[in-house]
Amino acid sequence: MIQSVRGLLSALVCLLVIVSVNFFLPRLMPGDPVLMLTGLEDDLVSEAEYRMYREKLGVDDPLYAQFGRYVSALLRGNLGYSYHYKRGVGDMIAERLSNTLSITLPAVALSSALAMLLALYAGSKRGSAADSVLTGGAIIINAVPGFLIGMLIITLFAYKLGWLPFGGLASAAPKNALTDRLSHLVLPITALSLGAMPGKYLILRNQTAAAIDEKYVIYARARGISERRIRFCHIFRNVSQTFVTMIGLNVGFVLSGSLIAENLFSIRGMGQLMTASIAARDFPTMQGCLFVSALAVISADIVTRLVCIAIDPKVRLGVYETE
Amino acid sequence: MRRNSARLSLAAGMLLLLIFAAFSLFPDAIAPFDVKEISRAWLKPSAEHLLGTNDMGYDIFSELVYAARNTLVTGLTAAAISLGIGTAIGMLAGYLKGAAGEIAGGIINVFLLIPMLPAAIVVASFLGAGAGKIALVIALLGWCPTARAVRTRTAQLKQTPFVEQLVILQIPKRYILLKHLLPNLSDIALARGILSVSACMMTESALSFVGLGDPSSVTWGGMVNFAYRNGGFARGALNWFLAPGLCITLCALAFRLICGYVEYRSSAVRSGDRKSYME
Repeated sequence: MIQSVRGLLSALVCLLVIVSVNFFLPRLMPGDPVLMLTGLEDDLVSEAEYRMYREKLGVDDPLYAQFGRYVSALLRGNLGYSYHYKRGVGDMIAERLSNTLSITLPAVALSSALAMLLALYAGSKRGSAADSVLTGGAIIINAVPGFLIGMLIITLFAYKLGWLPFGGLASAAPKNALTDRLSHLVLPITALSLGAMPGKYLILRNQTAAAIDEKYVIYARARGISERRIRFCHIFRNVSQTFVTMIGLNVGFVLSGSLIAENLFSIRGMGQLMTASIAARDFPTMQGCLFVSALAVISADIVTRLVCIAIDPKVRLGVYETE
Repeated sequence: MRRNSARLSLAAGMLLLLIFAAFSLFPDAIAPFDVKEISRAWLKPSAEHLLGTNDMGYDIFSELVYAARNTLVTGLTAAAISLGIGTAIGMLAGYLKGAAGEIAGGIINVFLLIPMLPAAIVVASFLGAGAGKIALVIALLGWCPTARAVRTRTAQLKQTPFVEQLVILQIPKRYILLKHLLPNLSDIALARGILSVSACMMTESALSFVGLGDPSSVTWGGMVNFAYRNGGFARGALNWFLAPGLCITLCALAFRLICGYVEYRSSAVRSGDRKSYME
């Protein structure tokens, strides 16, 4: 229980850190906070406009008053205003979030499931040819940057073979809206999953490989229980806590990957909004995206903690709390 | 991992690293052209231009060689800083009890949750471009895995008789941590340090790819970014975007292979058991 309270606390503090970074960076950096907050260029702003913004942003108030206003606006769901797009940041993200989720959620699920299956298989056959191939492959793919995976997949399957569309989420005039959408989703999800899988696979494989020396596995073998049943019923139960925790932490990694994948595959999602706002020096939009990403990671973390409490009596009853 | 495969991975990693070290130490001897020497644009790979030329007519292979130093230096700097931060916080979190230990452990747990790339993008775009600043941002956000490994190991070491005796002898905590625990953490710190070079390089390449790299010192990630933005990717010019991408991959792989050997050796020394390969 102490562990869970601690986890919840660190989730809250993490949110506070992100909010503080978002708040203090533009205000304490050398340079004019008005220009930093609006992302406007010095020589493009007229004197009257500048004074108007300065008044509106309230940068002359003491910092604590500004921080209070900032947090209370966030609590009301106001993520700021983009002076580049002339729109509320919250609205823009809300519009695009579904696109981001439609590639990240399947990628998290697919990569986790595949990593788990392959890890159980390779780990319980530690040292075999299959294990060497899978683990070696995972180590190599783990070293490939996410953007290169995406670019290679597009080059191969969309440009060279022409099997699947290379960008966007829908054709201009689809015959069947569902299959059209699915065919557009295949490549980005594959790219994201391939990037997210090796890291998880390696950790789970090591845990499985270590588990097969444990007494409960040897005893299960002695009882004549089939290898498959040992793998999926006995070992899986014991590595499941790592597995669930990892899925939670993986959300942040996949969101980072999605930032790049959305650009490569021209998907109008939150990641694309964020990278587009780099070039425009649109700081409010960037910060809004960071805040929503952090919120997603933190909620995933809280959910996985709850799942861990539900599935693992060691966590629930607080045994072995000392790490 | 068995002894032979561990040695093999060390040899392969060292060989790869040697090539890239040569690139970064003697770029003018290896690169056939100067970085800003202009030939015809969009040339295909040939004997004269090993990897062809880009949209501006620069020789891609030469650019690749010159970018090696920037990439490696950024990666090594970031890894060194993050090793320092990670070891310090990890030791404190693993050794101290009570409020101080809770705070150190809490810092690790908080940073673990921060989404890496979005946070790096926001901080880096406020700080502005510059290789040193980029390295700093990566290090400040990337020390978590090191700190976790060091924390676990410190907590284990704390239970050992030799540390207990130091406590009984009333040796001050500062001395126990710096004089007695730190040397015992060197193997895990070395392994994590090497591994984080590859992690830092990957993050740097992602930041460069989204356009936050230092424009005055081009890295491999920056080259892929140029290829993507200036039509190299749309034209399917594999020689332009795949070559620097492969360099990042091979370099990251080299560090991982060497780390595999270091981990094997330290675990073999410790207990003779087969320990994890990479976590």
